[in-house]
Amino acid sequence: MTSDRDHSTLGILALDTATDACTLALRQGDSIAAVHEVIPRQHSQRILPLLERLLPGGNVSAAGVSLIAYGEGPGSFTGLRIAASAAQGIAFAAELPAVAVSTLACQAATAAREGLVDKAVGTLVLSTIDARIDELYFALYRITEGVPETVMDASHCAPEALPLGEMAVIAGQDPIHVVGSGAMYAARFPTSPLLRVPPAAEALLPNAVDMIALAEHAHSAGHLLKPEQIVPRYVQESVGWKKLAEQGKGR
Amino acid sequence: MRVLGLETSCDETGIALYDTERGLLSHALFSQIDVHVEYGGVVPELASRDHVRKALPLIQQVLESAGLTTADVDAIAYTAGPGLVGALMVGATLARTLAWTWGIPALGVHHMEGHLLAPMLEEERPNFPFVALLVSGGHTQLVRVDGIGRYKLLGESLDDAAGEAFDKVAKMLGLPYPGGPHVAKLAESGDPARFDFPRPMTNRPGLDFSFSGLKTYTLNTVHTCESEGGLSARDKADIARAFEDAVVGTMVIKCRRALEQEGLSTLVMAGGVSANRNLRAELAKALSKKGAMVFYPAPQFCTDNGAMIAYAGAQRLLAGERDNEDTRVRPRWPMSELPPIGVAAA
Repeated sequence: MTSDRDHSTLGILALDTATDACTLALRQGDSIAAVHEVIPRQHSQRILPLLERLLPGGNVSAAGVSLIAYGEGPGSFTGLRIAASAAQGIAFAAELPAVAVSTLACQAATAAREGLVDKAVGTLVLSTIDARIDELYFALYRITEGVPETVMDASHCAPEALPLGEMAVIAGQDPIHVVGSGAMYAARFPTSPLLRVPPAAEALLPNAVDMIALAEHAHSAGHLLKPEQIVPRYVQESVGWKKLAEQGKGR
Repeated sequence: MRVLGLETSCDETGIALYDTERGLLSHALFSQIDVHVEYGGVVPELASRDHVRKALPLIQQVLESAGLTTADVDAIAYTAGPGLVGALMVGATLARTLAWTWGIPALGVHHMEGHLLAPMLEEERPNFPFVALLVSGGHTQLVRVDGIGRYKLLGESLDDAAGEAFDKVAKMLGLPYPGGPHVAKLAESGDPARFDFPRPMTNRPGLDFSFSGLKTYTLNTVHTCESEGGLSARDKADIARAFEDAVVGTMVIKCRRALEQEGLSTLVMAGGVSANRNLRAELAKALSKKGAMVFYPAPQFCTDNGAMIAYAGAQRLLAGERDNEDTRVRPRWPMSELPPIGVAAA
């Protein structure tokens, strides 16, 4: 397990503001410190005080941090930009590389760590986030040693259009555990004998503590970003505005 | 003190480096016109998405063109409002995390104070006190300025901002976004004698503006032309000219009146509409008769830019002002709430 020990020396600062949680984690040596506050619509105002609590004085490099991990989304558009902008600022100022971590993957790992779903190898987790336009973001993961591996990449759809059939084809006939705020739409999902909605599933929020292992994976895989490459992953590209031609007054 | 300035309040990403001893070192601007033109106006979500992609590369660009490294930056100023909330948050978060990591002060700047002080970037600068005419897509105000942060609102638009009225008239005439410069361009070829539009609120005392009546008058003229055989290119140019003359005429009257009322002889003009050549020429002509002087920023610093934010921020940072830990952006922020320089640091 030499490689594990090597990884454990990698100092990581992780942050995610895609959901109602403003969640930060700092891994130094073998210990992980975390700041996690559920503060809807206050992320922009609160992220700096929370960073300061985790890393007083902004001494990122002195604290042994050598990698910035940011929650790329999907989630609140504004929230994604706060995490990306903060990660840009810290990574650029401290001259560090960054890795993008899917907010849905982090949430799936949180579900496993908190015991919301069985941590057994192979458990399927459908990680969801309410997209607030009568749609949800979702991605399907298989939990392996507590770490989610992507089975179906992040997408968005109306609750009724959730592709459970397709998931069953890809993932076999294993039960699919739904977690995250998108579970509020569970009653509207297509019927499937495989679907499991654990109690309190929709109250789950991603915790940055669970970004650390995912960040290490991305780091090992060489998915390093320069500060200017740090961008949100919106998944939802439509922004609900009509172009002049669609407004019926194109000129 | 070398101050990095970030402006992201609307549809332009502006970055600049200002040295309080050597002046403006470098600046860069990315305009999002191409992003918004097919929508006929600024789409806030798209504006925010663009800022997050452009701000950091522009910071790298201004550092490089100034021949400086990150270690040479002493403080950061950013636009904290007023403006589009999502767009403001991008600049504020980037600025504040950069400052935090570098261990240098950051300060949120009022966008209109930036515009107001933009003429100070020129070699010939106005002296306090003066009257400022702030004219942009979001503001039309006459302000008495006794010093930085010592502002008295003398008058403002009761409805549309002047720039907004320009943009709406542009739409009536079928001109693309952003309409103001297109109307001004078209007006150059218009016949000033064909239409005579009313100068709103000039026959009443006071220094307030109103452009909605003029807008309606313009629309009615468009409709009349349409019903008389269609809106020709000639009609459009003449209407643009009549509209612009009415706006300019109104501003000249109000500015003259403001200077008289305050007993001052210096006028400063700032904001996007202050780039309008007709307005500059007419104001200079009218005020020189009175022995008054007019100052305005270089055209590139009339519209939104990072240089004005770096400059305004530098003045307050020099006086010891800086953000609190939990400073927030202020999409709505009356300029009257700004403290005189140095007071907030006490």
